[in-house]
Amino acid sequence: MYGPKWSSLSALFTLVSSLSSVNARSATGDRVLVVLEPKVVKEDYSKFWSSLEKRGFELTFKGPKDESAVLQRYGEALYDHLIMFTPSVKSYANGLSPKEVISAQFAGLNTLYLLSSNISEINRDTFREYDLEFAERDYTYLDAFSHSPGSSLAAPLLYPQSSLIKSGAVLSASTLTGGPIVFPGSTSFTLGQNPFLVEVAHGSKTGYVGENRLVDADEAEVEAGLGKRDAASTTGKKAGLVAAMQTRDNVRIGFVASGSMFSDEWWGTEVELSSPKNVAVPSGNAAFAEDLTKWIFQETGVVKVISTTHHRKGELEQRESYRIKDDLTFSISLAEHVTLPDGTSSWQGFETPDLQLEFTMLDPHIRTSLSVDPARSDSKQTTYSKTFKAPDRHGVFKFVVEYWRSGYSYISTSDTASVVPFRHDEYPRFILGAWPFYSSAISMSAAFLLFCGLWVAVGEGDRKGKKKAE
Amino acid sequence: MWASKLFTILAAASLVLGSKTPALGIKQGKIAITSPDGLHDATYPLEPPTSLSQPIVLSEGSTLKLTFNSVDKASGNAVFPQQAHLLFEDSKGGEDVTLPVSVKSNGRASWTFNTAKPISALTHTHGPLHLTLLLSALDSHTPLHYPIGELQLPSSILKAPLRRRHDLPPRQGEPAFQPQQELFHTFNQGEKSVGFIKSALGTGVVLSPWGVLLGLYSQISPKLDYKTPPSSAYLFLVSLAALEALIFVYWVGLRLYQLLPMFILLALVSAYTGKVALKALRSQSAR
Repeated sequence: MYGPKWSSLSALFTLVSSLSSVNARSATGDRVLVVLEPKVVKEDYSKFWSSLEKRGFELTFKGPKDESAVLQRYGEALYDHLIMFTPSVKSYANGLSPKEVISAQFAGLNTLYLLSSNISEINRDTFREYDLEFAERDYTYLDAFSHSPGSSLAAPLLYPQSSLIKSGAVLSASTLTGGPIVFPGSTSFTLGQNPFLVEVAHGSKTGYVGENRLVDADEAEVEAGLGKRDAASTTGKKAGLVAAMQTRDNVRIGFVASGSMFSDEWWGTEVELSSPKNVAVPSGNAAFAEDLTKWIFQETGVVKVISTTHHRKGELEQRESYRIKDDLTFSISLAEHVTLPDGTSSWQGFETPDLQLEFTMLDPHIRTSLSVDPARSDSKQTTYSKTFKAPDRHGVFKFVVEYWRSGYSYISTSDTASVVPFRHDEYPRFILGAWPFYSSAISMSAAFLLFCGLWVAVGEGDRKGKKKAE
Repeated sequence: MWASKLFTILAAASLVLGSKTPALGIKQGKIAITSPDGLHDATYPLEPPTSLSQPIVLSEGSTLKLTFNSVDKASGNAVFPQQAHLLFEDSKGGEDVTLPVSVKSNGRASWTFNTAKPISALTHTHGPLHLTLLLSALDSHTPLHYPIGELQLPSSILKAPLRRRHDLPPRQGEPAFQPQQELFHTFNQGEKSVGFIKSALGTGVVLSPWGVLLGLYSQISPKLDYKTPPSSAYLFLVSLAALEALIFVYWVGLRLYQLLPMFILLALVSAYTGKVALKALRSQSAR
């Protein structure tokens, strides 16, 4: 009697639960807009799109001149992430113009720019906003010493040990020690001094940026005169290939100089190494693409502050004002976003050895390191605390914790508390050096009592006066 | 049938033999060091793949000139390379520097380094540099990676390394991306306090008039006429003493609002007992 009912119910349950577990693992959302230029064939990247969809993202594909593409409507973002694969597009629709994209980034849109060696002027100008200067048109990253024997040097191999940089949580340990990455048809860029830029991959020391055609001596001289071949900035490790920027609001924007590295041709296939010969290893393209998109789309490296407290040592209550030379205890709890094995978002503790606290009034008066407090940390958060003495200065201070590191979300919190000087009755009460004064006052009282006593006890004893009275 | 088989075998063989790409090489490569005083002049011939056995040490004022002909190794014909770079690797972990070598159309290449007017990119290195010559010509020739040897620049031309992106101190308006130096607050020294000896001496000085008083009193005491005061006088004295005691207790630990009620009460009591006592005393002295 219950057999069929139970089986249909359990089937319904598993269906519902499987639907709900396909939630995005990103900390900010799962709607992705993918803009592909006409030259890019969507089916060439089918494995990349399916890997994103498997991770729970909802992909919408549009062209660069599609008037229906809108990033924000009435102040609300329609997409959480953007993939722009439009390196050679010369003009965009209004909704996708660089100005719109930048204002959407200010509102929280994480972006991944996939590029090639043919970058249009409008894109080149846009990328200067991010302090990136791209190589000339049709100049690709070439490496004659590090490419598969079967393919040309325009599809060089990047070895993780020499070309990938460990910047916080951007790349996982397995990618950093994994197979070589094929980087075909890429451009190259130089990064400026902007501290919010994160270098992810650069050329190997034998690579250079040049044209993939034989150039004779005269042409080379002309180009050198025009400043197109600037070896100092476009060779070896100075040739940037993958970089990212994390803005102050923790919006992440990635730049991959070779969009073709995500294509099916290199996804999960084997590549032959340049040396030793005849050795084929799995390529690292798929792992690199997954790591980079996980970071850009706010899945890895996302850190947040759970709570901050401050109180006098020995008390539990948080006060608005403390006294100078008070022992103050400050604690902060941090958590890092993590994807559980079943595919849901969760938070875990975030341990770091160099978190610093500043007790600031205009300038930091005290800067000290915060250490982990194991008693108040659990699997969901890590609590750091520190006890210190409030300075001699009185005024309005702030407990400032700032943690700016490449590859992790920036942390910047401040709690205000005032520090007041000693009240008139908080000074030491009885002082050793004041005994002369204490003794003089006490002896005044004693003398008065003695005088009264004597006056009462001693008679006038003057017979003359008595006689007068009589 | 065997003819077609032989033909295919021959064709395959010629393909394999013919498809062997030529290799790039250098001919007449040498490094010449010249100096104004002529003391450290030297010429080192370069024969790839053998590196130089001794490191090249440049002294102040000397000039290094590298010259070679870029050729096809097999035939010896001049080849114009697409990439002719000198890679300077800093052995002490600094940044690598890659500099181009100017090559003419006939394959002749030269690179000069004058320590009197040094190339700025090299002045920010430190330590001995591993020098490597990289020559490549796209897919038409196999490239040449020739580690020439070690080069030591004179320390007088070396400058401090350039600032990296996240070095401290941070630039104006930018946050620090590294842990910064810890700051400690130096507290004011406590006020200087008076010691026990000075305090004891002071107390002695303050209490010395009591000695004088007691001495004088003992002298006039026999001449005084003591009489027993009436009992109300004792009560008066006790209330006065209580008043003094209250003042002392207030000084030690009471607050004004706690003092005043008791003080007023005791003052009234003292006034009343004083009035009674003084009346009694007057009547006693009038008798």
